[in-house]
Amino acid sequence: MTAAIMIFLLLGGGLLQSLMPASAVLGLAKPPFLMAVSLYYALAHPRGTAVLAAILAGVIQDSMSLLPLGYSALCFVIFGVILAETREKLFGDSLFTVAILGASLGALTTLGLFLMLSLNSLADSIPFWWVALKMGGTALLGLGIAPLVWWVAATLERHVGLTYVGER
Amino acid sequence: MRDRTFVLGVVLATFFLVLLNLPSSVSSSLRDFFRGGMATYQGGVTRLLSRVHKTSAAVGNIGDIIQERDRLDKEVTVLRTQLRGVEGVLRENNELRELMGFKKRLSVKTVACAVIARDDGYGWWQTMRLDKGRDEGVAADMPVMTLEGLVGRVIEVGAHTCDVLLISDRAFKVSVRFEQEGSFGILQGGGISLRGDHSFGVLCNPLPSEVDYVRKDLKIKPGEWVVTSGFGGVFPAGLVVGRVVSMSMDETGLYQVAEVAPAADMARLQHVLVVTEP
Repeated sequence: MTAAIMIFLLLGGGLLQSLMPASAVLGLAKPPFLMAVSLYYALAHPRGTAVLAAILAGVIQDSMSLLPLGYSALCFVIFGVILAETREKLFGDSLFTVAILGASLGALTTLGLFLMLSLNSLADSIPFWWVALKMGGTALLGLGIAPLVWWVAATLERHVGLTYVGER
Repeated sequence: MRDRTFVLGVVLATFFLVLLNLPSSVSSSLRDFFRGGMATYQGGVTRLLSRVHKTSAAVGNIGDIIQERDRLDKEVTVLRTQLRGVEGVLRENNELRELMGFKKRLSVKTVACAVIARDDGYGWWQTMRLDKGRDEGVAADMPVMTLEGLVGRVIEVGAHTCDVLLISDRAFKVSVRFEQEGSFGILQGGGISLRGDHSFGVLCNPLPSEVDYVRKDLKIKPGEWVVTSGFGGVFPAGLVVGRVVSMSMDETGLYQVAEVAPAADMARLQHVLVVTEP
């Protein structure tokens, strides 16, 4: 059942992320649904499941966009593993924490992707002020999207009888 | 515990080493799998949003629409009458061309496509996704246009979808010619404006493109047409790109810079043509 819910969240998140309009004022940042799904699994599931979710979320994001395959997955896995390792020591289980993490991870993922694109000379035409705007935009959207995805995912899992780490 | 972490680290490092260096055929198959699955929904939602937008606009302007319909009725009658005359002139023109040995005007072979998504999925580049791909004869680097002018070029192709880098993206470059002056230059996309009424969507508010290194002695006036030069082999010569908005000197004072507004209405793109045979 965990796998079914994960697939549902990833595909639904991917579809929503690709369909939602982007605003120029936010650096054309897209609502980070897939990052939020990855964040949920990093904070609420065992490390193996978190890594799998991060890889799948990244591959879907890269496939739907023009990013080279593996870039988003690498970012999601790095942040996912760090969060999975430190969640019990550092983070409380509240939607406020999730919102702050969603904003931080949104900005960091955008910066990470830009650095990887720059290393491969794929971001030569993108000025840094645009990246900064995009980081701010993704952070703002992550602030709202991450708790929403968390609530949907946790509710779904609770309905099918699963309990996430925070409830154990 | 430490051993398990080490093993997981090695497995992940190997996985990413493979994933980041996948052969393009494998990675494009993987992309096709996800894009193909999503394309139907993307197209459906884009059409739905467009219909909702049109319906809400129509409801708000019902009086204007009735007036517009009456005006168009009259215009159709006038145009039908004129068309009868034009058909005769056209026939005569063709006969004269054949007599004088003129070649027929160069025509290009195109595939009509609908826009199913209006950005690259993460907003790094200004792109749009079309509903035709490899199986319909579309290939990378093919020019994309509307009847008004050049829109961009195909950069990624799936089985039934393709992605187009728009003329307004800063990464877009094309060799152009000023139609009247006959001089050449490289046009680069200008990006998009953060201001304006329509701040949502990648295709809105494109800034004028720039043509650098234009000789400073040339007298290019605003309004002059800019067309593709045909150099570089990607774009056929003569495709309309846009019109000169303004001219200025560059920082060195040695060359002029031309600002060019795209001829195609980038904010209203719903259907475009991919040039499959120039």
